[in-house]
Amino acid sequence: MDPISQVNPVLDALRKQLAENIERLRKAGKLGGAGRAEQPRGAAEGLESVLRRRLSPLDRRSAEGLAAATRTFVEAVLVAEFGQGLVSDPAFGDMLADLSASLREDAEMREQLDRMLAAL
Amino acid sequence: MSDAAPQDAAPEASLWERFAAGDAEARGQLIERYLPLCRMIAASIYGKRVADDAEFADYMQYATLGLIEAVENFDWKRGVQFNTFATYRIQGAIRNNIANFSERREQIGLVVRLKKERLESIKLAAEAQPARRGKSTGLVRDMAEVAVIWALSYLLEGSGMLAPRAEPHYVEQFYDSLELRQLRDRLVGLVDALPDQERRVVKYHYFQNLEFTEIAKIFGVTKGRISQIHKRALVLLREAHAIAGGLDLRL
Repeated sequence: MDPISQVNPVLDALRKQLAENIERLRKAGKLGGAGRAEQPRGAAEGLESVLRRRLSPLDRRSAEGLAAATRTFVEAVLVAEFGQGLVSDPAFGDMLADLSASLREDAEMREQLDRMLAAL
Repeated sequence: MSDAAPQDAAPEASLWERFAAGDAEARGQLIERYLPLCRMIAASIYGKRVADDAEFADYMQYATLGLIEAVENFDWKRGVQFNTFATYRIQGAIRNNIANFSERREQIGLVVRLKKERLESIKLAAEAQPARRGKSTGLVRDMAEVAVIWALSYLLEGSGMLAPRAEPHYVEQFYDSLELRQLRDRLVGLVDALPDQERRVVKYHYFQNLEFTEIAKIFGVTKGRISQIHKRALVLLREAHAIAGGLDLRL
């Protein structure tokens, strides 16, 4: 893997290109100028605060509890990123189950998740 | 170089000439130019399948491999239409591989393999993110980054079934629900905003279901390099979504 540092000039150049391409798509009519409600990105309550509140009732000592906590974590993160509207989507549950299960199937990811969940 | 539609970037004859002269970029452009043909043939054969041993992803993968083989073996100086030449190769690649499919069912399925290499690729995705969320720190922030990037990968998965195509009759409702469907459509649209290399890797991997090893052969680089580009593509896609967030995509 090549860790990409925050001051990586290659990534900076790609970001510039990305912004130009988005503008080009916008001018070509591929992007509308309005229509969708603003995404509630960066909600007033910080992510860690949300996670502590939502995880506190969960028993994280068993495998089942850690799996449930992982699902709660993924849900909170995705809602913070993409908006509260996801919660009302009937397919979101399947998506959460798939994402959290696949993350826990990987030993390295599971270890990091458990370490993070224990710290919250 | 960034171009959302590289298949229109050069006349075909000049691409064949450049390819014959050893130009790897021309080879990639030729392959991309005929991906819609691939999809059409795969869809046609998939629509007439008599058994459900293989998924559409498998048909697409074999079709694309057939196309790559056709590009490599085509002699453009003979004046034969490449469409005709490639159609037989693609059909043959699908039928030969699908016929053997049941013998290899004990192997790990393509979808599982694709998913595994995606996860390996994004494990360090958090490292690529700027520290833009000061409130979330350390491991929480890193894991949140991974979860978001993994979700983007999930949403792109299977998007080849929904990408623009010539034969819409086999389209399935991947997401019946509105919110996720809109999010997925926005992401698929934003793939065209990615820089050239990243866009091509995403399209090969998610729209054509090619494994990193196969994409590496097309690019003439290592599988590890493709894994890096894949990871960076998802990071950039997330940023693209943030930049264009809240906008409708008219696709």
